[in-house]
Formats: sequence, structure tokens, C-alpha cells
Amino acid sequence: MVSKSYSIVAVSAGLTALYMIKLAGLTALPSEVVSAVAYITILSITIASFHQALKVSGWGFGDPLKRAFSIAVIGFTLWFVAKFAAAIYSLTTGVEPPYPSQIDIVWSLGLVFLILGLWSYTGKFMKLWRETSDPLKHLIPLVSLAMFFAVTAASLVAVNPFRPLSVNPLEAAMDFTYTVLDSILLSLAFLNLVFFQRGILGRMWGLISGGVALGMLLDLLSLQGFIEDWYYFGHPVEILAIWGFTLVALGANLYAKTFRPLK
Amino acid sequence: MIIYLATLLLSLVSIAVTAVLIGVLSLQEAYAHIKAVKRLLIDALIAFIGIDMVLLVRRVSPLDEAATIIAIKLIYSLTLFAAATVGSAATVIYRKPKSYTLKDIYADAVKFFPFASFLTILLIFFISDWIVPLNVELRSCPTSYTDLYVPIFESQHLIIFSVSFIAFLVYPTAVFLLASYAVENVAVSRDLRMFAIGVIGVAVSSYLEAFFLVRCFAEAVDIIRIPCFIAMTYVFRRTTALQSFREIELREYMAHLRRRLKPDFNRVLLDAVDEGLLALGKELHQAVYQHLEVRKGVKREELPDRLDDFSRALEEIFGWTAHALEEVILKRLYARLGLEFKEGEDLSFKDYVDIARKALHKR
Repeated sequence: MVSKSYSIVAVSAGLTALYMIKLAGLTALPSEVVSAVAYITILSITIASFHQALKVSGWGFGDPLKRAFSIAVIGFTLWFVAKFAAAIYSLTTGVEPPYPSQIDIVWSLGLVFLILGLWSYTGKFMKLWRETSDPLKHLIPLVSLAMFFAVTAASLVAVNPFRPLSVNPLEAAMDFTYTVLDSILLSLAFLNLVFFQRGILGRMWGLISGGVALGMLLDLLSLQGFIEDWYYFGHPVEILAIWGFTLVALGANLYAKTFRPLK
Repeated sequence: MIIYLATLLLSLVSIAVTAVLIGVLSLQEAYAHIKAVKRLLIDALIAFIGIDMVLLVRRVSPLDEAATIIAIKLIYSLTLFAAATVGSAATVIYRKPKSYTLKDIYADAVKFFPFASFLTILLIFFISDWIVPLNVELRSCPTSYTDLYVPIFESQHLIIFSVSFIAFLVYPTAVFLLASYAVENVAVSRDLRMFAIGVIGVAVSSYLEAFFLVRCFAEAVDIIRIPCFIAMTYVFRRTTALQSFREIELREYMAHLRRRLKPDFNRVLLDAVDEGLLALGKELHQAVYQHLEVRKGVKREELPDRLDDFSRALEEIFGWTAHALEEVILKRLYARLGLEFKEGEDLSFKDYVDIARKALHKR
């Protein structure tokens, strides 16, 4: 039997191929459909993988690991709902959903949940670190804050969300919100990548954080692309997010496989 | 129709839940400067009820042009007030004033330069809110039976919103985080970080609310805000509960008693390992023991004799954070034995445990 990890990678490779086929002009499928199919498929796989991890850890908010998985699965489900609603809207009306819309509330809520999920796990280790006599422990909060400010500043400069301010202020405000939320999640993911490098849990959380970082990079790129008019739903750059979600699913799968209860 | 009812329901639920949370907070017994924090949090919740009430009135009985402008300005002012109260609560917790009279609590907070700057910024924006003109336009909204006036945001409004949002987001969050790093009690430290996260949610929701007014769906942000309020109230109750202080005292007393009696070393070591692993939660505690049993064939009771296997298992699971975990376990072990933990060079986990064992036998 093929392992779940290989199957996840195979599906992602298939979705990547779909983008390539579309790019080569070998299919008449509209690019929005390619994007919707890819996102809905990979998000379903990610949620299913987290469900497997939750079956091992258990659902709840009392324990940090349970809390991290539970909150993350809520976040990914909200993203799935947002993508699904956008796809239904596009298919029924023939046009892309307005921006910003209620879908953006659901998507940004998903972002908030993922920030909380990642933090609930990282925070536990940061607290553990503070109990040690390591002289570097005092640098951790400073590094975290510096990372956040550096990432946010770089994102704001790169995306420049206030460019469409005079044309569409509402859109500019939403772009700014997304840039800040994406930057928080991105800096948290970077912090996790620094913290968790080795060991089974390190690999698992590194995969999840790496995946989230890729997803956020795509989010920021797409924001910039929308403003500069080079991005469209189904753009090959979305492959970044597809592989980001793949890494997240692999991380959850690794945890479920390693810590499955003894029979 | 469905959207209209959903919006209405959301408003009503939000007001009801916030009112219940105010009741819960009011009934909570608080002491010293926490009393002031409690009152500030209640003030913030009242401000948010005020915002919801304005939105509800606007929904059920659409306002005219002038009344809408005043309502929008009022909503922004109430948000600024809430930001000021949350910022004050964070400052009072961080500064921990020595005297607990209200006058001293606030005087001490105002002496804190970042807090004074934060309040000044909010005051400037409060004044700007009422000075800068705002235009509205009539729009047909899916969330209302009748047409509603919605704001037209110009660049100056957006700049004011964005900067005040950053102030609301950064100041209280940073101060709660600073307080969490300053406090020694681990549980209180965790609760303060939870508060910081709650503040992020409330600040983001307040920022989004302004812009979703344009889409006639400002109530939607309650989906973010209400869980944050519930979490913050829960955390506040937990932190201030007298019971938890009693438990901490009892635990310290028990530890003191244990130090006085000569303990069974292996049992104390296992307790210290359990306590250290539980610092990361029950799930990881169980995961470590499962990994030890399955991969290394070591049962919990055999652990004192197979410390190298334990060390390797920790490294396999946690990577380089395993060393931090080992140190925490060792500190707990030494504390339980009434010994002073001193870090040496090139000593392994097993070496430290052996030193403790020898020290106990010498007594």
C-alpha cells in the first residue's frame, strides 16, 4: 500500500502539472477553475491530514498541542470555506467575487486562527526556554519582535498596499489588513523554522511552518500582483501555495504516523 | 431577508454575550490593582456594547445623513475609548503599582512614558475624528430592507484609521507581552500572553469594522470580537480566582515539606521528569513515554537506570530544544531535593542526576 505521504505529494504533483498544462495552453479550462480545483483539493487534503493528527492528539483547547491542532484545523477549514464560496460565486455569476467581501472576513478570520494556532505551540517552547539559564533566552522576545517588524516593514514596502488609495480606498484598507496579518503569520512561521529544526517534532512543526511561510509568501505576492495587475486566479505562482499546503499536510501526517496510539 | 435576519441576530447575540461577560466580570472577586484592571475591562466591554447598539439602531431604524455621520464618528470614538481602557489595563498590570489606591494606580500608569504617548495619540485621533469632515452616500444594502447611508472614506480617514489601528494593536499587545515576560508565575505569564492575543483580535476586528460599514456589514466583525472577549474574560477569571492562589501556596508548602524529609531519589526523579514534560502539556508528556517504550524499550519505572536512553529519546523527539527541556527537568529535580542547581561544563543529563544522587546520599 502506498503511504499517505507519497499520495499527498503525488496529488500535489498532479495539481502542479495542471497549472503547467494550463500555462502551455493545452486545456480550455478557465484559469479560475484551475485555481479553484487546486486550492479546494489541496485544502481538503490538508484538513483531512489535520483530522488524522487530531485523532491522535484529541480535540480540545486545554493542552497546547491539542490547542495548536484544533485551532489550525479551524483556520484551514475557514480558508476552505472561503475558497469554496468564491468558487461557487464565480461559477454561478461568471465573475470573480467583489473585493473586499464577506469572503475576505472568513479568509482573514482563518488567518487569525492560524496565527493563534502557531503561537499556542511556539509560545509553550518559548516559556520553557525562559526557565533555562541560557544567556540567549533574553534575546528571544527581542528576536521575535525584530522579526515581526522586519517582515512587516519588508512586506509593506514590497506590496505597497496604499498604492490604490486614491482609486479604491476600501481595497487599499483591505490590502493593508492582509499585509499585516500575513506578515504576523510569516514572521511566526520564520520564528518556528528557527526554533524547530531537528527531532521528530522539530521536523513536523518545521514542515507546518515552512508550508505556512510559503502560503504567506504567495499571499503577499498575489496582493502585489493584484495591485500591479499581473496576477490572476490560476497564475502559476499559486504553485507556491499548493506546495505550502502540501508541506503542512505532510507535517500533520508525520505527527499522526509517529504518535499513533499503541494497539 | 436571510442576510438581514442574520445580521440582526448577530448584533443581538453580540450585545447579549457582551452583557453577560460584563456580569461575569462584575461578579469576579478582585483585589488590589486587579480591581482597577477589572473596571477598565468592563469599561471596554461597555464601549463595544455602545458600538453594537449604534449599529443596531442604524439597522432597524435607518438614520438620516447627519445622524449617520454622527453615529459613525461615535463608533470611532468608542473604539478609541476601548483602546485607551485596554491600554490602561495592560499598563496597570505591567507597572504593578505599590500602593493600591486608585489615585496612585493611575498616577503611576501616567508616569509611564509609552502609555502617555499612547493616550496622546488616541486623544489626537479623537479630536481629528470630530474635526475632519466625513461624507456619506445612500446605498441599497443586501443586509437591510431600506437604503442606508454609508461612509465615503477619503485618504485622510484611512490614514487616521490605520495609524490608530496600529496604536491599538501594538501598545496593549506589547505591554501585555512585556508583563508576561516580567512575571514569575508561569500560569499568570501564560494568561497574560493569552490577553495579548485577545487584544490582537479585538484591534483587528475594530479596524475591519470601519471598512465593512461601507459594505453595510459591520456586524460581521463580531464573529472575531466575541470569541476574543469570551477568551479574555475566561482568562481574567482564571488568573484572579482565589482558588488558584491557594493551590500555588499549597504546592509550595508541599515542596517545602518534601525538601525537609529525605526522599526516595528515583521517585523524586520520576516526579521531576513528569513535571518537566508536563510543562509542554499532557499530549507531549504521553508522546515522550510512548516513544521511549516503543523505540527504546524503556518503561517509565526503568527510566532512572537508563538515563542515556532517555536523553537520546528527548533529542530524537525535540531536537535541540531537548537541552532546554533537560535543564528544566534538572532544575525541578534539584528544587525537589532542596539542592542548588549549578550549571557545569560538558556535563550530560546523567552526570547532573548522578551529582544530585550523591549529594542526597551525603546528607
